[in-house]
Amino acid sequence: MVIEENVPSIFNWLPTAALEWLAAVAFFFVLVGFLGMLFSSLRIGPGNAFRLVWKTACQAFMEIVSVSPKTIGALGMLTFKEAIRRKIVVVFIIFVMIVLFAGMFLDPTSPHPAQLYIGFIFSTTAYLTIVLMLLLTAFSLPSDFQKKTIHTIVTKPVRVSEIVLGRIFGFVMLGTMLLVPMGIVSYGFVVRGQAHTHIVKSDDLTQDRKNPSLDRGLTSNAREHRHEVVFDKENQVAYLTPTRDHTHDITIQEGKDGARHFTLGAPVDMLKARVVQYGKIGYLDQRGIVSNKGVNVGDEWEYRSFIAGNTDAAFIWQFENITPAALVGDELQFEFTQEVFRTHKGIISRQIIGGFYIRNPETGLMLEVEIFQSKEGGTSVFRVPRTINISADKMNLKSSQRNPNGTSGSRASAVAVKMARQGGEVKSYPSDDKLNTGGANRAEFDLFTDFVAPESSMFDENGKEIPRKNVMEVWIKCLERGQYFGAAEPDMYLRHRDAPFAWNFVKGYLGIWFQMIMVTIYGVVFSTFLSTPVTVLATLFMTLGGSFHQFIASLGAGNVDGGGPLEAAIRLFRQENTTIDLDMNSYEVIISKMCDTVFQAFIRFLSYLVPAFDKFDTSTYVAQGFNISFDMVLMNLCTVVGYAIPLYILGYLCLKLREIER
Amino acid sequence: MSDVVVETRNLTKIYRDFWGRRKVHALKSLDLEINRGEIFGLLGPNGSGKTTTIKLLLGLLFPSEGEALIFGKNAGDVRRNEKIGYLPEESYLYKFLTAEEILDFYGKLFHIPSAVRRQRANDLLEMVGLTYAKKRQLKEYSKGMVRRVGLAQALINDPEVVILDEPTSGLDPIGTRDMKDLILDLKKQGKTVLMCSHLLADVQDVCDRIGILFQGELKEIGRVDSLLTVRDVTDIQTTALPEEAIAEIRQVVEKFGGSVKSVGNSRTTLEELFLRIVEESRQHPGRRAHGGDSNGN
Repeated sequence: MVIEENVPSIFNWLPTAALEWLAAVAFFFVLVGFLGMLFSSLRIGPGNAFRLVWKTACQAFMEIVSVSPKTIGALGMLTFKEAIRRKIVVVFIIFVMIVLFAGMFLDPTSPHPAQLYIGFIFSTTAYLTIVLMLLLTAFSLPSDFQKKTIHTIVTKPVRVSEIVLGRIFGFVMLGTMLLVPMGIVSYGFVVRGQAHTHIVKSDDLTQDRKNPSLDRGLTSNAREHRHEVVFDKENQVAYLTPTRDHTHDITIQEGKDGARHFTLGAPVDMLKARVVQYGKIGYLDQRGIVSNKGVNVGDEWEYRSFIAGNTDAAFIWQFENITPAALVGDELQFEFTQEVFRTHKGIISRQIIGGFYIRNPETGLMLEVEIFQSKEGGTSVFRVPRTINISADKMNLKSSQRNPNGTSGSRASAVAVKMARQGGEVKSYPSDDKLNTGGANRAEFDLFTDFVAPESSMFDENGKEIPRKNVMEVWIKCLERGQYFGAAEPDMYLRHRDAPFAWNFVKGYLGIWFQMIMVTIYGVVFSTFLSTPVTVLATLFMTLGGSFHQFIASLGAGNVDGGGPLEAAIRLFRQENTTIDLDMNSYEVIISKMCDTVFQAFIRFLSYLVPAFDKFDTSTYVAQGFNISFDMVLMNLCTVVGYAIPLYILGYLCLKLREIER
Repeated sequence: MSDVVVETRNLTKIYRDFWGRRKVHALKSLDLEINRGEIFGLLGPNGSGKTTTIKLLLGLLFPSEGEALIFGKNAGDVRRNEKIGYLPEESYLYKFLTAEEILDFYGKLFHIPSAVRRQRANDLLEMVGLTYAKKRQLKEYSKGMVRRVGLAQALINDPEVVILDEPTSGLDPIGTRDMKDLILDLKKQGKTVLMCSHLLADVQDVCDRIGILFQGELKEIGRVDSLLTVRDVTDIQTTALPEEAIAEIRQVVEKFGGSVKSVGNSRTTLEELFLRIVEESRQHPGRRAHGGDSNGN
């Protein structure tokens, strides 16, 4: 399992996002001002219209800025009390009921039980909260108008801006008060739902036929699964094969009668929050020359590129900041998710063979760490110890023990990378004089001294050279002719020490909280000028539209094959598929292109109005066991604030320019 | 310093439909001035523009033309609302709150300190006779009780101007009398009261000046006593007289060229009769009341 998106750093993201936000907000309010001028001019003439719009803008600025926290607090508490008195707590009871009976419907044989439980509980919470807030906000202000209770508010020293903020604050407070106990119940549900252990009796273990020093057997059945137990009699250690994303700690005690007793602990690695570091991917083609992508094996989904087996082709990930701080225990741990494309069946008794290597980009010193069997669609784990000794046959990686079906590698070499320059000249990096050929003959290596370059250069998307520190390269090769490995940049990551799962769970809930806030803001703003049913529909449209934000944005950017609606209609009518270019000389095509450009601009504008709800949903991270970075939380927070400010101003203007009595 | 507290200048309201077409001309060029410390009543039949005037003054509607000012400021300046108390036509209050919570909530909107707010809420609830029910939600109240809470919320900020839209609507005769007494009491405290009503007796009882609206136009404005004075009729009220005395008075009237239009016992109003019976019943529970005689005999 892998998260298919590399989250940028907040410091890289924020300046660009802030500029984009400023431009969008400025455009929006200039448009609002222009429309206001236009309509007012028709009634009172351009001069008066300009004065009116200017006066309104100045007054709006003052009212928007000078709000009273006390008044907002009072209005917020009113909203909160109203919801509580209207028995909103029933929603929580429904939630508890769902949780109580969830066990009856969740598949006990799921291969990923933690993912199932977490996914279920997060989606249940999100749906309940969002639907609740959608309905509450849609009914609140229109109900005030209908019952005229707002008359007694606006005739007090209360600014319209405070009414809008008070409503938003009240509902956010209410949603938060609901989410907190829901989160506690959910956490209990997930943790208790996964808690189990197994029993291992020494009588159940039998001697391995191939290796007499090992005893093998199965644990007892718990939660519809068993683990295989392997007991190493020489070393008196036992371990369990991972099943359903977890294993258990096992301790061995010898009784007075001489019999061994195995005790298993709670599930390990089931509820985790992996802190990962991504590298920058590069490719070598079949000739071993640096390329900007791999081979396309015919997939429409171009997420992963492929490299051919038994050639010089390779994936190269450059990791920076590789320091002892990245060690877990005494080793670096890499995890690699791969896709395999076969042009023939291969050897039926095993998977496709690949190689995992590390390399110093400045000296070219490269070590074959492990020869492994691929796990198609699965994740391989590679551990690189700090001190590497290849004088012994197995080095000291113990990888054969951890990956019983794999083979340890044990070769060092000095490898230069070839880069094609303009004019067809091929140059090697590092150059021959810098290549550490002597190091390749050594038997002992230190990971950081030999394979990490204190200073090296990496290339960004535009091919610009950027200096980096403490860089190490990780290579993956496919070693079988006619077979291909496929990978994308996030498929290989360095795993740091795990973060606490509970804290990751909280961050996942923050994602729901952000969604709830967005729905609340949209609901309140729409309700300042729309009736209840229309508010529900409009907010629903924003929520659902936001779930397909990526698609809408790509429509607006013109990245979808087939053009706009008119071009698509022409293609349908003429029965021309999207691979054929339309005749640009015909009038209908020119007109349709122009219309589609306008439509595209409208969609782009719409994509700014609709928030990317899918970005707020971080439950996948929690479910798949990846830590949600603070960068991501901060980005989502900034996004919420970015939407909240203009929407608040819009809500203020709508309510301010509306006659309360009508 | 000007004594004019409430002022309208050429105030006009035209209701239009979605397309901007004129639907109703609710108020036509209203010019009005209400001075500090007076009770002003707006009279008129249904649809004459009374409530529209009040809503324009409070900013609940936007004027089509002209200005509606209180303390010289229009509705855009919310700070002026700190000195205004408003009782709507029907008490539009949050029914899920208790009377105590309602007053506390509105008090917070005026940023009244917590202790003062609590004290003032208790005083007002006592004044409107709802101390015993202050912990009950408004949805359990009768219409008259809600009206009283509405009045209390209008006074929570100790306003200088009180605007009352149909203040006696929904009140029983005792409540009506209490309301009228309260309005007179507000005048004594130096407050300015603007009220509108179509219950002429109520207006007559309490107002210093009135304006009469009809189909959006101000038809008459002036002091109540001068407007109601019938100059060609003289009223003389005495204690009960024998027949001979009445005949002699007739002769005197005719001697001066006048004519006696009617002679008889004075009649009380139904309101006064009702209040007297209720008061008597309170004092002597279980005894049948004798309210038919103005002397109480």
